Amino acid sequence: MSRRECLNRLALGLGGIALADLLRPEARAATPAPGTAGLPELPHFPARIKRVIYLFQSGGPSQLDLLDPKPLLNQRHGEQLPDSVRGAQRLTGMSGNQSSIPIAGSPFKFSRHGQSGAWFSELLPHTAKIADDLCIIRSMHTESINHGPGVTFMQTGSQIPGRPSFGSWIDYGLGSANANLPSFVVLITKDKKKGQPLMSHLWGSGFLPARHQGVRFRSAADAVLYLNNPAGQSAKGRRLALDRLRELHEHQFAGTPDAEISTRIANYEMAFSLQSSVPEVTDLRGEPAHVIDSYGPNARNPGTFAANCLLARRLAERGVKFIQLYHQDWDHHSSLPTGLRSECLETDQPAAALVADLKSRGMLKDTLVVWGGEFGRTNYCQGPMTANNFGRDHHPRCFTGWMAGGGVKPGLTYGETDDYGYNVVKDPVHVHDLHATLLHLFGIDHERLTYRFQGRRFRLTDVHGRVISALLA
Amino acid sequence: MGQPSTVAPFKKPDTAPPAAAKPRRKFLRQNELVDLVKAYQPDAQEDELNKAYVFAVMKHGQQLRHSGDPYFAHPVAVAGLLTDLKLDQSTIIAGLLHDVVEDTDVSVDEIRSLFGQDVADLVDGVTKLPKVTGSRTYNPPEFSPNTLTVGARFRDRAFKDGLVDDLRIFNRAVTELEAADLHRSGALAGAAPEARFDYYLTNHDPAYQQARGSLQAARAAQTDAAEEAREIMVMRQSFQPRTAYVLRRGEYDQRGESVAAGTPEILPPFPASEPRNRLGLASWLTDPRHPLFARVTVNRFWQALFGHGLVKTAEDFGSQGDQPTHPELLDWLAGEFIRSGWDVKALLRTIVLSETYRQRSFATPGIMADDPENTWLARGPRYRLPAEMIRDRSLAASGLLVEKIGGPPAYTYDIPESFKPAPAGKGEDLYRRSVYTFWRRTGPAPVLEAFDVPKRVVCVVRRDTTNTPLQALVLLNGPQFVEASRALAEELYRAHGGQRDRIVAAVFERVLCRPPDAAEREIIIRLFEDQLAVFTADPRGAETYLSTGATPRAVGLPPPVTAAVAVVVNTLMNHDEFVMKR
Repeated sequence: MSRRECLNRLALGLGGIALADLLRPEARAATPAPGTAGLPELPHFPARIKRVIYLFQSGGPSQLDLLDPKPLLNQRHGEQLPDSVRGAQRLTGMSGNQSSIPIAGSPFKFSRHGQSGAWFSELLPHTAKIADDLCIIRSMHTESINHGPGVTFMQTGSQIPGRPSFGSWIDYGLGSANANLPSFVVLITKDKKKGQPLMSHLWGSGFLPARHQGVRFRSAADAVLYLNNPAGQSAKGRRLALDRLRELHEHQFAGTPDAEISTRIANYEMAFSLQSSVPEVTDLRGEPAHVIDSYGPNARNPGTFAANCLLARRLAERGVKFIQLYHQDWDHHSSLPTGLRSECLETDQPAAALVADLKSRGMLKDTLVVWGGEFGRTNYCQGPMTANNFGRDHHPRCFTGWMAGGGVKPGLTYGETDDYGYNVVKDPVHVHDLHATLLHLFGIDHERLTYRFQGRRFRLTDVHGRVISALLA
Repeated sequence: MGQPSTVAPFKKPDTAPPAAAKPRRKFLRQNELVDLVKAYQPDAQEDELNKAYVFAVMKHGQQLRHSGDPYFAHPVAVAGLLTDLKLDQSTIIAGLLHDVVEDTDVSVDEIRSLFGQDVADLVDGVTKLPKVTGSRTYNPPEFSPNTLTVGARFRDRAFKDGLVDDLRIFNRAVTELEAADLHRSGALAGAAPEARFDYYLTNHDPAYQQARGSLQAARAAQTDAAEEAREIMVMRQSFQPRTAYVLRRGEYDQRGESVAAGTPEILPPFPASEPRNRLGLASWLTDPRHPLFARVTVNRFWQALFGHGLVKTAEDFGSQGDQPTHPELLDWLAGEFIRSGWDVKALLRTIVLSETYRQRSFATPGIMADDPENTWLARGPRYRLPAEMIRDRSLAASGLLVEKIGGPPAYTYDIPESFKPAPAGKGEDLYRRSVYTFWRRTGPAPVLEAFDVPKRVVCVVRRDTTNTPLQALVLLNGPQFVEASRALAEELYRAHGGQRDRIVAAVFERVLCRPPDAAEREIIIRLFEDQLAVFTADPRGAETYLSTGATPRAVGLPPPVTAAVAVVVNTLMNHDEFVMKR
């Protein structure tokens, strides 16, 4: 039996009784250990949600081919985009040089689903089944036209790296609910070599203390850096060493009653608990087969989007407050029909299964699932357009995302874009507005969660943002 | 004339007709082509177009394409494509004729006599090209350094407002005369003898050609040498500084008034005698009369020694920063620093020999409660060591530290674990001081990051220090620390002949720099005995534990005892006194 298996089996209560007392009771049971406190003044008002699972679709999924159908584009397919639609708005450096910008209709069929009659493309058959749980926003808009600033803006409220990420603000403000797990966990779909790069500042804590930064769980053997004992050191040997270390610290504390020392004693116990609680949460052997299968064929392959969605639910159950998933490779400048299809195959079923799974466990009422990218894609074609191939460029002026869960109206499609799918014409939702609304759901007034740094108080929403009350249930 | 270099092999059409092949595709007929051209160029000469069409069909004759189509379908299709671009008559004709010189017995002169200079030049240009990409139909399969792209970029849809007229590629610089001759055939033949000097040297003079050959070889050697050297970025002031503007409401395309570099008005004026560049800035900054520089600097050294500065906002001495807690002390230290000629060592000596610094870091509960952050310095400093010092300290205690100064960055054990992994280094790279650890911007080495090194996304002069369980995992399980532990265990075992009590006394002093008291000695002995029992029952575990890291194992030592000592060392490296300065 390997050390890892040993810990896993202990965690599941199957280990030898003699070793059972080596583990803290919290680690054996699924009930979280008490966590760390947040700010005393929070929440500002009753919270609607306890946690967020953010399914970030990095690269900019095409809203026109997924959630915001535009029949006019199909009617006028191949014609030049009229200047009147675009107005004086600049194009990106990538398609601004094109000799023509022909309108590209969607090659995918759209239909209405659920009581709410929300529209979905044929690429999202599973998401379509949870239509009545979704709050779809078609009028998202952002300021950045490229990925680096765009993702950074979506995650930190600023296009320039260095601000705390959304999850860090939540950890700073609300503390953690489970001392045995980080309260802000990052999961990245593995092996996405083609996608736009992700940088660790996206889940960094900026100027907030470093303990509030997201902890990336890797799909490798050590989900957390150096989680496992070094080869050759048994769990028993480690426990005995930690017991003596504790005695040394207690002896030191008796002469020097410094709170730092008691914190250190607690941290070594927590580190030991992490060694069992992290493998416990990442080990799917306790999941019923039908649940794993509902997340699709990749769910048993660690590090896939499907496996990460299932892991996100397990983390949510254990009190993790902010679970940030990243799925790359939505940047379909060319070969959009094949590329989009393949990303949807990887993500559609797991995302929908996650919502359904949370719902069946009664967790959807205080969990919010958010799906979306950093911007949308153009209604015109970038690069060559043939009968079955084309591409779309970045488009910050409108894009579509969805939310499901606590505090938001289910079965709602909010906001409108024009018939060309170029500009928002009704109920715009800016990135800052989305942030303000998410904080509101956590019981936080976005104008009052601040941190003083370099001479001024900073907010996630800077000096902008308004809560979109029409989205609230 | 230089040889056009080969960009990609040109696919020759099959000349022998396959037996069963038959024309399959409809192509543009003669009258249809003429109609297309006349639709946008009403004055086009129908006769010329017809003549070229017939000429191409006749000359390509029975040649067939791979597809089985008659070969002339290709030039006709090209001509059709050119009409889409609404190009002039000569270009359409050149399109029809573009392969006849290459693939049939027709010469450029013959084209010239039949269709004129203009068409001949165009056909000549196309003939010399092995392959051109970059047109309306451009669709790159993928990028490679060996692909030449003209008039298109990455995912562009062709290029805008222009056409490539004539493109030829040479493997050397063409002389002026050759260039003229390319543009207008005959320029070379008609040139005066003295004007042909360059041409003569380049093409016919053996001594010149030999010298050019050795120059090329020398350049190649220089380039190879430069490419082997590791490149590092350096900053250099631009010779022609760009004008900066106030941007209205921050919009990059809304320029307001232009602005120049300067210094704040409340500070001493920039000396007129100094150049307005970085050198001038350095002189201005280090002028002894400058009120800020010395104060800011001594404050940072104070912060390094005490954990916080006399001005706690070490990054901000402005109106938004904190007031100094001991303004007279700050001024005196700054003055001494200037008077000593910026002697950093003298400054540090002054501080560390002071009574304030040498106080015990723990005071009575009353004082601790009254001044939890030690703002008023009634006790000595206490803070967690910076990341680099913790790693260096473990290497130094173990005897593995390599004290070499300088050189390229070192790749440590944890670089493969970083967000952008790279292979770990070998040999002494693994044991260099942490200041040499490879640092990818925004992604520091994970061991250092666990102990709060900043990501270098923004400038940080004051790190925050945290105390987290993740740090415990690094010290307990990280290969750097486990290896350091077992290396020291091996050394101590040998030095003390394996005698437990001597090892226990030595290990404490070696790792924590003081002898243990009686209670600590007793705990360490129990720690050792516990581990010895575990490893005696699991000798393979002991072997494995002692194999951590790249340092060769000491031979002939009993694994269970050595491994037990190694765990003792590692436990002391996790002791509060190892990571805290008290």
